Amino acid sequence: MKSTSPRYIKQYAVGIIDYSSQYGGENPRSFSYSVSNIIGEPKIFPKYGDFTQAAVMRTYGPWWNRCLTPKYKKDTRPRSSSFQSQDYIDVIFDKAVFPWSIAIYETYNPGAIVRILALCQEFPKQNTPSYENNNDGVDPDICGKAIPLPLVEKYTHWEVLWSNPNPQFQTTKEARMFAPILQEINHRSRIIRLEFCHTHLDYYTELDAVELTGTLTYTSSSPVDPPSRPMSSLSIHDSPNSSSENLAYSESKADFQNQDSEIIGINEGTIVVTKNYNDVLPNGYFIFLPPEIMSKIFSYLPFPDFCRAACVCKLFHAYSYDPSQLASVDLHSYWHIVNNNTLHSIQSRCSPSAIKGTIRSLSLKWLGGGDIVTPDQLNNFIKSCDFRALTFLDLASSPSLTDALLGSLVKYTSGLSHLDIQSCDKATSEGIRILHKLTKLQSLNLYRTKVDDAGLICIIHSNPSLLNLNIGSCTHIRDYDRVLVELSEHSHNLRALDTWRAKSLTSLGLKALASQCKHLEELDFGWCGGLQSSTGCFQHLAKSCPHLRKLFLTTNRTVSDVEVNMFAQHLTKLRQFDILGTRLVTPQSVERLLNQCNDLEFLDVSFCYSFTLDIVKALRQTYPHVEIKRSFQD
Amino acid sequence: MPPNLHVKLCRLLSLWQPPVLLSRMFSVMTYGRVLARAFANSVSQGELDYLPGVSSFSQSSVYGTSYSKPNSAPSTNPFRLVSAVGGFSKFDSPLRRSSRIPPRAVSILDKRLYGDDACFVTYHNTTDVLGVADGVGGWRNYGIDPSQFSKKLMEACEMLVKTGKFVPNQPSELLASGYKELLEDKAPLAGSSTACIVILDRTKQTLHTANLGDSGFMIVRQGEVIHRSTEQQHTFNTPYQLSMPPEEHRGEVLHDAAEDADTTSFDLELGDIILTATDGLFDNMPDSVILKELSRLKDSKYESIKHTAWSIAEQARDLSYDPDYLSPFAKQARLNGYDVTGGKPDDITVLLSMVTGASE
Repeated sequence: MKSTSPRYIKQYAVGIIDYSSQYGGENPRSFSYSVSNIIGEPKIFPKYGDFTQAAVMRTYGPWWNRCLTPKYKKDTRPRSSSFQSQDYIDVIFDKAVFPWSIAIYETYNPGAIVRILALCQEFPKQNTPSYENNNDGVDPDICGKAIPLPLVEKYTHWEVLWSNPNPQFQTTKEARMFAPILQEINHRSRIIRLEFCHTHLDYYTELDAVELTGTLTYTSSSPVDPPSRPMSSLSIHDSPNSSSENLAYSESKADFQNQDSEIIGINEGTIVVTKNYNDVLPNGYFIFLPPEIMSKIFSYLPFPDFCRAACVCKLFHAYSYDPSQLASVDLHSYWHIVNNNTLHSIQSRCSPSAIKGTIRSLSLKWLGGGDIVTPDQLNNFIKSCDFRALTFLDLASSPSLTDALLGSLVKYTSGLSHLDIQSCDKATSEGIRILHKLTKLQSLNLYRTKVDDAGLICIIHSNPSLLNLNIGSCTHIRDYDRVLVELSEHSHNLRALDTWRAKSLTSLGLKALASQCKHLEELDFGWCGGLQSSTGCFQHLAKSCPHLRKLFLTTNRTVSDVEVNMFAQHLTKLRQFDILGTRLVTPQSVERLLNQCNDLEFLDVSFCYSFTLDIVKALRQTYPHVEIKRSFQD
Repeated sequence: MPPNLHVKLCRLLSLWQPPVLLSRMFSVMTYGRVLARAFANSVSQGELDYLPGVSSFSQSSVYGTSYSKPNSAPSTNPFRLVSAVGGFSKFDSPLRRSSRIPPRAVSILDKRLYGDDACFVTYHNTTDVLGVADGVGGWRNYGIDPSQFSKKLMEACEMLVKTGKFVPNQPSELLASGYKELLEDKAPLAGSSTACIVILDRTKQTLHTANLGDSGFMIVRQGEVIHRSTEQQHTFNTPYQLSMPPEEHRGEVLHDAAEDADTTSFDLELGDIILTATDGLFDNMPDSVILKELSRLKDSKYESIKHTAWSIAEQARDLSYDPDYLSPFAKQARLNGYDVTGGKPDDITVLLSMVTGASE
């Protein structure tokens, strides 16, 4: 088998293709906590701690999920796995190899990796295109930036190399080299996606490097098949032992419909049967079950199975094409196998001819990674489906989201109240500006997009019912103060605001916001260095917004005892509080806060000068219901 | 040096000090508290392979011989730099010389090392980069570990080089980015430091340097100093420095921008010796002694360079504890009206590099 292979190539990542979030700033010349730190050989390992040289993602633990979530009908179908990936990093290697092993150097809170996939491309020549990181070594603009995806060949698809089938999340407190046993694939690959789930983590996970070992030639005893079928439909790879199944359920549709139709249609979940079925029971005894029961059963099928069921018999086909089953569709778990045909099959289930209001919520998160769905295909899908009733749309980190698609969105999905396009870097400032044509938005996530001041202000003007806005790490917003002033004038109902790493934000913006938006419940001002406590802005906030439940002032070096005492006095509903990295807060004021805020469940005092490990231990003992975080460097 | 003279010198200077204008003299005041511990050690490139990439203190590495990046084009230019580091913490007095810990016995991760100097040696593609920084000891009086700032500054610069986020002919920009990077740390850093960055562009065979404060470098060709850094001081013994005051002292502390650094570009030849060091060396050892030491350097092998670096560092340390010796620092002090003699006990970091051909 593989052990006989003479030549293994061991290589570290040479670039980053894409990622969903990062703790560090967006400045390509800076490295601190940036995802691009995963490039190259290990720099921290075997040290264990919270280092600037590591690749860190934006969130961890259950804290971010407990925030205000928009109310929408969730997809209740069971998924193929018990976890839901929250973040990903796509790394590229120099040479395409048949992956033999992947070692991930985890240097802080390991255990977040839940799935590893390889992008399989056909390379025309034996000589793989060699990726040279910075030939001259002098152009800093190239480094750390997302590298454009190489030309995608015909048979491009993702293969799951490893997935944690039954996550028993165990975290150790030491650096580790994580190298799971990989599923053998007969494709070469140089782009690897790492998927993370942080919910169970104590604190941020940090990565040092990724090492890919593989062979240039396929050495398994099994015959090498060229990919016989392009990914024609949904298939599932969740179990490492099951070979990929490709079920062409959508093609079979025509056969059923051309037959003498026994079942002529479905109306609001009720099957209308016209013909006598005495002679034969082509649909088995299922026909005797009440339609409501059948609908219920079908609603418990995982989405791929639900689609596949159409191939079983005419009855199943009818249920599988029941539009009411598609009120809420979540394809996030299947992003790697969703292709154009999948979109077609959904489209055929909810064409505009069907009853109005088919799909209410749709999650296409991460769709199109590796360009397996092109922007045009997605655009056609949005255009041809009936999305008049769509209120919830999640397109986070989708490389298929382009300006043209945004144009279609505002045209065909005008009823949207929740839109998530975070980390979609293909959409330009001008493209995002068109979102001002939407008027019912309540929740909008623009984290790490190219939205600019003018565009955002237009959107704020036209959506007065905005409740939840994330504009963190938007590098094209020049003046966050102006944005906050506009928010304070037009969005009086605002409940949650995230302005992570808004360098231009000052007390002017915060004071305006706090004066007008009295219902604020969640604020994330992490890494907003322009907010100076000496201006009294935090005290103003404490007095004006008594409903605050979450307040993150990460690395605001000016937060002192005075502010914490104010918070303790006024913000009695506080649940989550973060004052990481200030020298001016003492344990006394924090203790007062802990006494005053009975609902407090999360407190981050990492890198606060006076909080030694002993003090934090004592606090943890006194307040066992509060998770008190204290990170460390060495 | 008789202790009373030393105390006199210190009192003299500390009286003269404006209260928050921090300078090196505080670090001289701490002399006498002997924590015998060698701060320096040297690690060969081979060891660095499995040690963590960033070493705060001193590391000696050979670049060139073991520098071979897979898939990188074979180097066609004949230049490479062989560098070695030697040095001592000021707490490592010559009286305890016998207790000098063999370099490899001390882990570079050892947190108990208390010198305030930091340095790095690294490369990126066809560029070699060296740097030294000297943390201003006065911060100890404010309860701040002065070594943290210089260490973090050098770590940041090293990481920026390794990830290619720099331009070889703009060393002061590298220093500026390194400084900016400190603001991106979760930990609230404070302190100040002088710094010197030396970048060798192998393809153009040019050395680009930036020097802020009184650390520095000199280039020696055929026994003569042909190029050197200029000291930048506000007043005597108060060098230019990058600083990051703690929040409560914001606006009260002396701060110079990295752009104020003195920058030069200089064409190198084979056999040129580059000596980069903190003021602990230059304040205690006149050029003539340094040149004498360097003249003993016979070849460009890593071992001999390391040996010379160590011997320079050791001599400088010995001189710094000699009370009767008229050190360059004492001469400088006399010019400024202080009647003192003797060396100036300080942390010493010596980074010795030689330009050699790739074939050697």
